[in-house]
Order: sequence, then C-alpha cells, then structure tokens
Amino acid sequence: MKIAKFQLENFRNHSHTVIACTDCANVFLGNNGAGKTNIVEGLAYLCVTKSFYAVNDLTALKVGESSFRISGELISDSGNEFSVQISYDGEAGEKRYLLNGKTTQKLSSIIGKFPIVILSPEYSGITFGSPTDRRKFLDFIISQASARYLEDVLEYRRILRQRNRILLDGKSSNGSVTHLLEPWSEGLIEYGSRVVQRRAEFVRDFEPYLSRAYEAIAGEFEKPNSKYLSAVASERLSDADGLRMEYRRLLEESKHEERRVGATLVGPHRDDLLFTLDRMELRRFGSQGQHRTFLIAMKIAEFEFLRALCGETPILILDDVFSELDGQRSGKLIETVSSMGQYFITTTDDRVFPQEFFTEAGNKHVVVKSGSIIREQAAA
Amino acid sequence: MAYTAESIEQLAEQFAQLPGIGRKTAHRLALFVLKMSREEVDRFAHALVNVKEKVRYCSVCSNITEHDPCSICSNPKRDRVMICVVQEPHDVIAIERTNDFKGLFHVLGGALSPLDGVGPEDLRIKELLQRASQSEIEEIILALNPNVEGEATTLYLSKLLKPLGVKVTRIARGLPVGSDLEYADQATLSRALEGRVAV
Repeated sequence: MKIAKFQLENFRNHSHTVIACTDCANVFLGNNGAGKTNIVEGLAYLCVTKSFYAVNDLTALKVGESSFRISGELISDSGNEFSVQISYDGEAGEKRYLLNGKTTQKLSSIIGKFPIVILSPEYSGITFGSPTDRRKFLDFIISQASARYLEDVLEYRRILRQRNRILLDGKSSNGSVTHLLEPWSEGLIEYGSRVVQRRAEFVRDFEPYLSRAYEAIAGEFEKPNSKYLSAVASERLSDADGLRMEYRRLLEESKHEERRVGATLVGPHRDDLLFTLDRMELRRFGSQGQHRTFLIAMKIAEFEFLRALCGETPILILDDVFSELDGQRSGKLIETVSSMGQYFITTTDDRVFPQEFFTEAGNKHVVVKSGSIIREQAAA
Repeated sequence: MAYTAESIEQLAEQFAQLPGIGRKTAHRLALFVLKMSREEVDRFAHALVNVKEKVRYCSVCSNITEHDPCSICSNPKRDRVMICVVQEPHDVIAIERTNDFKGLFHVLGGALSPLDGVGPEDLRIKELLQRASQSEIEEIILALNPNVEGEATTLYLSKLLKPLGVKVTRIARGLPVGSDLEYADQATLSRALEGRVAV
C-alpha cells in the first residue's frame, strides 16, 4: 500500500494542507507544536478511521471549526487505486467514510483494508504500562489481519457491557440475577473464547517475527519472548470446546465474587501479555534502552507480520522516535526502515539522517510550521 | 436561532425529534409545510392525530392494529399451531411480505438490553408463555435480530419455552439470496460457513 497524496482540512492546526508523497521516506521536520504529528495522525484516520492520539474525534477538530475532512489517494501493491475520504461533523457527532465515492455503512469494515503500523512514544505503554495498553496492541494488529476477529471483539465488548450492567444493578438489590445473566454468559463464552484463542494463536505466530526484528535492531545479545497470559487459555489452543468448557467453569467459580464486585471477572478483557528478554521480565527488569528497542522491534515485527498476512505492504509511521534514541540506534533504525516501502517520519531534528539521505531518489523533506507546509524538497 | 418565524422553529423542532431527521432536513420540511395548501396540511395533521387515536396493540399478539384482535390473529385461514416471535411490528410486515409464513405472530416490543434499561419485564414475555402453553401450539419460531441483544433474548426465551413441551426453533443466519459470495462481508460469510448444511 502506498499513499500518493492526501489533504487535511480543518484538522487540528491545519486549515488546508496538501501533501504529495514520495514512495520512500517522507520526513516532516518542525518545532514542537508545528503540526507534524497532526499530519501523520490524519493518515491514521484515512487508514483505520481513527486516531492513535485523540480519545474522541471532537478534539481533532481545528479550534472554531465545526467539521474536519481528510481525503487521500491510495495505491495497493498490485496497482489498484483507491480514493478515500473521512469527514467528521462535530455538531452531529457523525463520522463518514467514503471509499471510491461510496459511503461505507460500517466504519469497522475499513480496518484491515489499508494496513498501517505506527511507532510513536504514545505506545511506550505496551512495554511499560498497564495490561490495557497491551490488549489494545493485540486487538489493533489482529483486527487488521482478520475482520472476523474485529467483529468478535466488538460483539464481546458489547456483551460484556450488557452483562456488567446487570451485575452492577444487581449490587444494589438483593434479588437473584442468575436468570438474567445466563443468556449473556452464553454469548460471553462464545465470543470470549474465540477472542482468547485468536490472541494466543497470534502471540505464537508473532514469535519468529519478533525474534528476527529484535536481532536486526539490537544485535544478537538478548533473546526476546512474549507470552499470552489468560486465565482461560489452555495448552490445547486448537481445542475450542475445551476452551469454552474452561471458560464456563471459571465463570461459574467467580459467580459470588462478580456479584460482590459488580463486574465480570473472567475473560479476554482481563488478559495480559508478558514480555521477557533472556527470560527476565521486561516490565520489571528492563532498562530504558531495552524498553525502547523492544518496542521498535515489536513494531517492525508487526509490519512484517501484517505484510505476510494481509498480502499488502503496510504504511509505516515513525512519529517522533529519534528523540529517545542515541545516534547509533537512530542510524540503525533508519537503515532498517529504508527497505520497508513507503514510510512517514516526524522529527524535530533532521541531523539524525545521514548527509546523503535527502539526495537519494524517492526521499522527501517537508518543513512544517504552524499548521502549514513552508518548504518541501524531493530528491529527483 | 430566530432567523425565521417562531412557528417555523417550533415545527422544525418537532421534525427534528423524528428518527433519521437532522437539523437541516427538519428546517427544509418545516418550510415545505409552509408551502403546502391549507387542505393538505389539515390532512397531514389529521393523519398524525388519527394514528394516536385509532391504532392500538392487539390483545393477543401485541402487533399494532385498528381492530382488536388484529387481522392476522382473527384470520381463520392462519395456521394456529405456529407462532413466530419478532421484536417490533415492522418485523411482522417484513415476514408477511414473504408470503411464506402462514402462522401467527407475537411481537415482543424489543430485545433484552440492560444498558438501555430493558429487562424481561419490559418485554411481552409473560403473554408469550401463556400463548405457548395452549395445547394447539406446536412450534415457536424465534425470529429476532442477529445481534448480541437478539441472541441473548433468543437464549432467554428458549430456556423458558422448552419446558412447556413445544418445539422451539430459530431462523437461520447466512448469506443474502441473489448476492455474490465475493461481496459478502467476512463475518456473515464465516457464520454461513459455520451453519453449513448437508446437501
């Protein structure tokens, strides 16, 4: 997948910005607050209908405006052209996605069509932060690779919210809620066990990609590993019936506790991912540098994984990653991504690039200031 | 927002309450009403009031009707051993259009959804159980929406209906007829694969 060009209208601090892209490196340079990240955030909107920063779409509106629009032209690896547009109307709170001029009924059906991999300080939570960050990471990759998974996750979340409401309402009353919970528990087990199974399979399949990427970034010193932690997941992953039985048993077991707490306590929404380096838990024992290297390796692995599974080269975004890396690792990262198709980089300092970088064919240098492009230069 | 007359604003306000009507459309409709003749407006207003005055719920199946019991429940040609359970009156219309179902209906009035405050007591479930325990009933067909709320309601009802000794079935999920396989969305296609039948 490649982006030929795209434009932002009333998006963040951009009134009207048009970006013509090259096939290799597109580097956006500017001071803090200039609007570099907003440009790549717009790309995320085009590819997956949402931002990797904003919690809600309203915050992405330019101050004083009532709607924003992002449009672009994408070209698949096989040469098919797509014209896409996403617009958000702040007053109606409505988001609209047009694919080749036709309105898309379900926004979720777009996810996976235009695979994208984003590396941003925003994602440091994957190795540092809470299980929520890691579950988001899992869901985002697997959703891009499998529409069925995304469907299952969305249904699961809906059932979970319905079921939790019964438990929460039941907390204040003393009556039995068992008969009310039962029909939702069935759905919870059905969808939940599929989500668990798919995630555990993913973590297994992702392993070789992660090892290879880590080796490329850090050298051979350490061996990375990841493990899916779930109360439900059993050793026999392919055994769907066994998984459902175990799920049912655990749900039954937590019956009293969930009444007391007022929330469902078993399922993929409580699972986690454990990362280790040479069998040492990364979250507890990893140095700052190891965390960063691990995250970059994960993202490169994500890129290769999606390319293999979707049969389409993902668009790669490196948002402000060099500020946290030393010169040597920055150089290694640039070298690695140079062979990965089209990519977008935002940075406050272009000295991390080798001198000849911007004279190489296909690389482009764009200077951003106060929501506008003030200079751009592409190598012939 | 007093750009126009106050009555226009009030009418637009009313239109805007209708499902699928936004602010702009509501204004356009209000201005259209202004252009209509007095007779047309009277007929329109009358039709609105009539709906409220004449239409009621069938005491048997809870479908909307002007005569109680409704035309389906009182039709002697309908097959009285089968009841098809649906969520809303418009689902009855959809199934009736097929001309393939000759049995009776039961309109629940929604599906279980704790988030929206809809529990079993808010649906016409007691009435359904009463009807299902009548001796002539042989089969109850559950035709609820194929979403998580519809699924949960289907499970809830089947649990209550099965002990009554009646056959409980649900409508199949799968591909729309006349469509191309390659254009089917993946979730529907996977479910259709799961629900495959021997030929």
